[in-house]
Amino acid sequence: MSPMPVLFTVGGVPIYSHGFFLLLALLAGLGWLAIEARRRRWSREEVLPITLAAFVGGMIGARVSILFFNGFEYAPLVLNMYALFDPRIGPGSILGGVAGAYIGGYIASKAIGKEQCSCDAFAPAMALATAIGRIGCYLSFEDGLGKPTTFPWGAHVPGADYLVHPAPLYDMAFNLVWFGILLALRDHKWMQNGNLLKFGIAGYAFFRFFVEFTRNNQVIAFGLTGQQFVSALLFIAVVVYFAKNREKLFPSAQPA
Amino acid sequence: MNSENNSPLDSNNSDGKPKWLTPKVYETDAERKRDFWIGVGIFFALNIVLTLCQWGVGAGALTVSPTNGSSDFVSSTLFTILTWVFLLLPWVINIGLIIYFAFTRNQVALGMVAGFGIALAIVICLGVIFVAWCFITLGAGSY
Repeated sequence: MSPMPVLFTVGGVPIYSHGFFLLLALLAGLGWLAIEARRRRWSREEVLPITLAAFVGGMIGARVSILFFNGFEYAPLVLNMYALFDPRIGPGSILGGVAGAYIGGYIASKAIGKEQCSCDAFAPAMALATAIGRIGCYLSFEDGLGKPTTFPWGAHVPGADYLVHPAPLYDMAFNLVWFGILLALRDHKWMQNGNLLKFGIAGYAFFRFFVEFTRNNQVIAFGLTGQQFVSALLFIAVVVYFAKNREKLFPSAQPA
Repeated sequence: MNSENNSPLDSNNSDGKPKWLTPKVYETDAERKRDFWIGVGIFFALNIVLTLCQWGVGAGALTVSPTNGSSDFVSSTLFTILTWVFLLLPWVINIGLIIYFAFTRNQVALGMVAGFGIALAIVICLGVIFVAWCFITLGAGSY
C-alpha cells in the first residue's frame, strides 16, 4: 500500500492521516476507559482528575522525551512549554507519553487521597489507542516506516526498489493482541490495584525493545536506540517491582 | 467550650501545620465548582501573561544576543542564561502551582489541569489538519 499522508480533503483542507488517527485513538482510548470505569463503578470524582492528569502528563512526557530520543539540539523546541500548543509540531514519542501518563495519573491519585490504584482500566485503553494511532503512523510513512527487508510482507518504498519493515503495523498487531490479553486478565485477582497497568506497560516495553531493531530511530549507544534503553528500563523496573513485592501482590494459594 | 482557641493572628492551625499548607475540606458542590473554575482561570491568565513576558523578554534579549554581532562573552552568557530561564520558568511555575494546589485546594489544581487539558485537546483536534508526523521541528531551534 502506498503512503497516504493526506487521508482526504474537506473543502480543500487536507485531513492528515497521522492527526486523524491520533484523534481517533484518543477518543477510542477515552471511550474504553469510560466503559471500564462504569464497569468497575468508579466515581467521577476519582476518574476525572486521574484521567485529566494522565492525559496532560502523557502529552508532556511524549514531547519532553524527544530530548532523549532525538538529541539535545531540540531542547529549545522541546523545552518551550508553549510549543506544546503548536498544532504543527506533533505529539512526540508514545513511550514518553506512556511514562508521562503514568506519572500524571499517579500524582493525581495521591492528591485525591486514593490509597489504592484505580489505574488498571487504563491498560487496555492504552493498548487499543496505540493500535489505532499506529495506523496513522503507517499511512503517513513515518520515519520511512522501517529498515529494508526481504520479507514478503515488507512495504514498498515510493521511488525505491526495495521493501521495508512495516514497523507501525507490527506495533498495531501487537497492541491489538495485547488489548485482548489485557481484557482477558482484567478481572484476575492478581491483576488489580495497578498490577494490570504495570503488566500492560511491561508487555509493551518488551515488544518495543525488539521491534526497534526494525525501525529507523537514532542509535545512541551499544547499537541501541533511546527507545530501547527506555523500554528496557521500564520492563526491568516492573519486573523488579513485582519480584520485590510478590508476597503482597500475589498471595500464594493455601499452604501445603 | 473549645479550649483550642486559635487567634486570628495565628498562622498555624491547631495541629501546628501552617494554614497555607493545610488541605481545604470542601463542604459543598458550589465550593468545589468555584475553586475548579478559579483553577481554569489561573491556568489561562497565568500562561497568557507568561507568554507575553516571554515574547517581550525575547525581543529585548536579542539586543544582547551573539547573533546581533556581539561576540562579547558576557553578553553571550547572559543571553544563554536568559534563554534557559524563560524556557524553564513556565514549567516550574505551572507544575509547582498544580502540585501545591493539589495538596491544599485540590479543586483549583484540577481546574488548572483541566485548563491544560482543554488547550491540549484543541491542539489535537487542530492536528488533524496540521500534523503529518509524530514530531516535526519546523526548522531546528525555531523557537
